[in-house]
Amino acid sequence: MSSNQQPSLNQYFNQNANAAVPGATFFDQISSPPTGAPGDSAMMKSVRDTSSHNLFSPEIPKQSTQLPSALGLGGSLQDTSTVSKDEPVVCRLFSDSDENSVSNIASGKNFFDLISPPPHSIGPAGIAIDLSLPPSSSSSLLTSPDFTSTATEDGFISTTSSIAATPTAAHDILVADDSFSKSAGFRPNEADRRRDAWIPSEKTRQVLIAMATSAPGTYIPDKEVLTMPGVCIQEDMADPVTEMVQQYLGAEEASKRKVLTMQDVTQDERGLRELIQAGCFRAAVNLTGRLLTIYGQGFGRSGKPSKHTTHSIQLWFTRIALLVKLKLFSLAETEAERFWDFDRPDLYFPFYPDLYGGRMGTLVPFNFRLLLAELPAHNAKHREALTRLHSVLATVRKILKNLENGISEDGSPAELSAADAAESKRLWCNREIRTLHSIVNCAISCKNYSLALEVLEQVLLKSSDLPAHHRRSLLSALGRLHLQLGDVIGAEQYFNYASSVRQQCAVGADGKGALVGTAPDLRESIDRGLLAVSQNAFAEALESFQRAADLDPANIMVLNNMAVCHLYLGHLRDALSILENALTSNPTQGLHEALLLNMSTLIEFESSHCNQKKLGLLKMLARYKGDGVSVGCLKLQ
Amino acid sequence: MEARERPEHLLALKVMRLTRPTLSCPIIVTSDSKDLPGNLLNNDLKHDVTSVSGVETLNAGQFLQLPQSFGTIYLGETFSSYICVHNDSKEIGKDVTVKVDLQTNSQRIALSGHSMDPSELKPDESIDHVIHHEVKEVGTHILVCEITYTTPDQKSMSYRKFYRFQVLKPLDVKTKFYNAEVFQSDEVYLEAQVQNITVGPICLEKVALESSHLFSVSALNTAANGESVFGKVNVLQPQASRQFLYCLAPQASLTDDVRLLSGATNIGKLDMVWRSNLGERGRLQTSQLQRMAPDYRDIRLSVQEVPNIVTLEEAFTFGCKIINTCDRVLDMTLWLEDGTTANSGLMWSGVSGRSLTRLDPGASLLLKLCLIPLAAGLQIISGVRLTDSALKRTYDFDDLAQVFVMQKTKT
Repeated sequence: MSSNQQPSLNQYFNQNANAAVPGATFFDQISSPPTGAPGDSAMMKSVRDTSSHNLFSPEIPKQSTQLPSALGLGGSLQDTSTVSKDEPVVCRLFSDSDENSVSNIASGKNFFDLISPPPHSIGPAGIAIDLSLPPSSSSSLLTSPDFTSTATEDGFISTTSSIAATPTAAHDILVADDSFSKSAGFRPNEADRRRDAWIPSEKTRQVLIAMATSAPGTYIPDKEVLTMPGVCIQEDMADPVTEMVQQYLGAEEASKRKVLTMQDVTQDERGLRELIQAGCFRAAVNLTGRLLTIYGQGFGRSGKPSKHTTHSIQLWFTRIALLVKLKLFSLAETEAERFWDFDRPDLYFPFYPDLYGGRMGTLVPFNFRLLLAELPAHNAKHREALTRLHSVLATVRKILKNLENGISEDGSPAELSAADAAESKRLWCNREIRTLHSIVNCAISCKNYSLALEVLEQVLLKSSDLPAHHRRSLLSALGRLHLQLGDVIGAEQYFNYASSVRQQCAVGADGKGALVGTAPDLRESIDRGLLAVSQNAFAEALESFQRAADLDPANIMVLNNMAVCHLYLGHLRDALSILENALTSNPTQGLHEALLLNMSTLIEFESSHCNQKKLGLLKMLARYKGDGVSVGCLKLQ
Repeated sequence: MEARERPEHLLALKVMRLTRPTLSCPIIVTSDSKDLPGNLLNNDLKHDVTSVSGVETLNAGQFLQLPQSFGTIYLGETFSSYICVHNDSKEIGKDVTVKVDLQTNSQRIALSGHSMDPSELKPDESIDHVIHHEVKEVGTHILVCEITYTTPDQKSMSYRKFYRFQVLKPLDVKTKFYNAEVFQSDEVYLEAQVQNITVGPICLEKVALESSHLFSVSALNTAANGESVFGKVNVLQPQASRQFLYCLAPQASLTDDVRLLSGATNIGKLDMVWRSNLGERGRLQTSQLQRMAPDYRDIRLSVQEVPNIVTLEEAFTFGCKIINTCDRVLDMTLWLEDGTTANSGLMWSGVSGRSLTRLDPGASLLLKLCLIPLAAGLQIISGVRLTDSALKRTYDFDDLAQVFVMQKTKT
């Protein structure tokens, strides 16, 4: 601690300066308003020690603004800081749970553990794990309480096959961020630095420097520069499926529904994940509300100062992400309003020298930033979303430029090892591409196809050194975008281009490209089918989708597209029976809003007595799905 | 669509407009594996049936979603509709016929005349028709569906349902013509401004001028490298317009006979094909485009030879052809006047007031005249006067051509 008390700018930038902070001292210093520490410790304990969370959880709601006992907290804090020396907190959690997963599969009880893939295990991180443990199998396990073990296996097999059909391996943008743990040679604080790096505005930087250069406790920042979020709804969200079952099928049927609620899980991150895994997004939102209340950021706290920790920010991220998934966009925007543009000094680690001694960068996860940048687009404010996304993109590019110039991400002079710098470049390149994807999506949603295509072409150029199958996916996406805007000729060109890339990579991979080249694979069959749809050739489209279904019989999207073709050919009955079969064969995946919407449309069209069939769908929803589903798609009258 | 329900019937009629499906996408929310939700959000996205494997974070979907509303329909699009007659009862309907007509402001069009339908419909059976019709009128259309059948107790039943919709105008086309008859050729330029007045972006798949047999057409809408002048992405946002330019050259048979040429006012038709969501197609053709007939009067002067660039104070030759386009024999006097246009920097050099050789009807005469540029810059050749000595009428020929006058380069 003594080094901490001699502040100097130099030290401020030296991230390795601080050793573990002794728990007691630390505790003394943050004894003001409620802090993230209790949450952190709860999270740590609950995974490793199942008995402790049961003790801990009931207390949490009560001690809304009070700290847990100093004794308990001190212990757990020490724990945190020692852990952070070798491994970041969350990953420790995950790897622990992974150890349990084998027995959990067997018992089938504590299935939550089984779905959290161990992202931090040594070895080729995210991808290998995704393949070895297809999460849909576990999701079916969870969301359908009465699923038999054979059904689980089915789910397992179908997922594996769909992954095999279109390899999404190493450069998959979804798993891109995982791989920084790839090499055991990286020290975790390097991984942290890479992941958390961000460039604050000049104003914010000045505040941070002022904080670091003044004696601890003497610098009191203006309230104006603080981020002061608060939950905006007082009531817990109810499960719409139960409500609808109650309305249409009676209380008895409603009481049969087994769905996880906030009360059924531990009141911590683990419980939160359990709810998300079960598709109970509303219950999960409720739980984030409760946990944020502990941080003094609950209902009515918006605009009042409170302290942030990585944990509280992660809770917010989870909450807003779920609200967006639930399409509660205006609520999400209202609650997130206090955060953007994530540039207040209290969202950077150096604001809390005692809590995160010497750690650099921002508390805000990159995906949270992206989520908030996109948010206005969901409320039809596309221009604002594009402005935000471009500001994110600008900083990402600045970071990449800094890395190219041999300095650290935020521009401070640092000596990064070659491997570290390369890894960082890779991470930020992926983030740049992910941001570009968001810009494309925003452009599509406001039908600005020129912008969407232009940016996607940029992405394609950046992917020139990526594996061929990745380029092929992009080309095929470009083709579909052309279809969406009506440029059938352009679409066909891109689909042909995608096919030729496929043949190239087939030749490259195994040397027997001639064989592969003749028969269209899944991707190609689907693209051909969509092209035929755009030419009003539904019989031809049906043939293509049928070919795709032969290759992947469990693919619900393909079955749905076949059903649509049948309808346009005048075969309503065939269309319905395909959808019905798809639903019954894989209810967890099949009970999707888009599919149910198609299904309800057909049911309504077929018969005047449609409600009976729709109530059947509602029963299925009640049986297989969490509270995160939308019931509007059933169009019940 | 408006429908009137008559539930007492055995047979139910349902109608659904089949516009192109849309491509459905998930809401894209991702996280790092180290964030609180771990891989849960990513996995949820990956296993979403509407996401696309490999590009989960892009909104370019592949999941076909049925249309959820009637939508809008535009002139030139194809109205497609699914007509389903379903036996909701427990009895058999016999002698079932389905008749579908489309009533427009001006006519009634039969859309299903064929009697391919089964004559009887058992319980839970249905008759399925998909009808297509290219709409050729704007304004109110009414789809009239008539069902007739006989109940088991030999009662003849029938009912009709009406579905009303409006057909809107999709494109606004403005045209402008430029006759280039005075200069060498007799080309006509057509400028067509096509504006998208639909509610969404469209792709103009084809905009072509189909010329009448009197002209041959060349489109001037590609750059030298063969690319479209409108850029790489062929999309026209709502209210945006594009200008298309076409050059029409009269057939050789026309240029020889000036009277035929001046009568050639039919230019051709503009043929436009556009597509919107997922290839929904529409096609429109303008009526025959008419140009203003060029008035050649009794005498026509066509420029044959003129330099583009001339040097200051150096005489140059201006060649023109004088054609007798009337039925009389012409005796003419040629006058050359200076200063007929403002700030003219060109002076005629030659004899003004000389008589020309007599011209028979249809005959022509080549004249070589001489001009001296006295001012630099773009100068206009004007001031040719021909007097018909029989009628004592003077014909003025101004604004014949332009030359660019340059300073003498010092050598």
